Amino acid sequence: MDLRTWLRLQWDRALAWVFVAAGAAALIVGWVGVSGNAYAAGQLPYVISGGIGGIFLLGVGATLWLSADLRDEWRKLDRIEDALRDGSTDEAAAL
Amino acid sequence: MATGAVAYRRSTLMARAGEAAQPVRAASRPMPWRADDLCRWVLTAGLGGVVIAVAWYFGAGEATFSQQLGPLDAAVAGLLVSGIGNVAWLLRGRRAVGERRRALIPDLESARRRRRVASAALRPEGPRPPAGAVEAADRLFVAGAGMERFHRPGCALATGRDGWSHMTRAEHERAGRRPCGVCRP
Repeated sequence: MDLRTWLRLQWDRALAWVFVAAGAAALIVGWVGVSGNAYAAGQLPYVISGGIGGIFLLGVGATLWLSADLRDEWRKLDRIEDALRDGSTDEAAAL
Repeated sequence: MATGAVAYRRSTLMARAGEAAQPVRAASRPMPWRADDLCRWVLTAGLGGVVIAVAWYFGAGEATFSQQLGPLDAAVAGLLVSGIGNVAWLLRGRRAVGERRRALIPDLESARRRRRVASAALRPEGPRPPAGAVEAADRLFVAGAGMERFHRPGCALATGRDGWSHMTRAEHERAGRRPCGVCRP
């Protein structure tokens, strides 16, 4: 499966990875900014943007990833319902 | 365990690939959430993000620590709002999946319990039910008018269906119905 197909099928997980990577990058940048500044007034903007902003991005990424899992389970229930409706109980049992 | 996870991931990938070729099923939603759930999540997560960005903008413009505490509080509040939105979104999806799973897949444990109670009632030393009552209840199955399948009265797919008729297997089969694939009457 090539990358484009994977991205089309797993767009929610790909987006989750983007948010998680952005959150991790924000945390690192925030830490670098805070550690390089001696004054609390200079550190606080990094705490807000890098620290709180990074946690926000990580939270959205985690939510997207867990949503993808729930959506997968929803599709699996679709297939079970279809199998029950068609009467192929063996297929339903296999699911 | 890892093999099972890989197989599950492969099956969901294949399901997603097949989904693209099939028409959207009209009977169910394409995902566990409704449009208003999506709106609520986008609003809360977006509001949280905007509040954090605005707090950063004003916090960076202040020269003293005490003047930055207000924007810091606002940023924490924005984070809380987005967190509450995320948790509510996930709980709503989890509840929708659970409700659908319970409706589709029968509670095997309660079915076993019912069978145990019925067999205990048939024992000579136990309290005996009215003659033939258990057998008659076992022989009767339910189905709705125009339905293609008949079910045991306790089947998960038959619960809460008012007005379904109780008939014997032969009568259901004469009406062109087949046994349910879940309760297997």
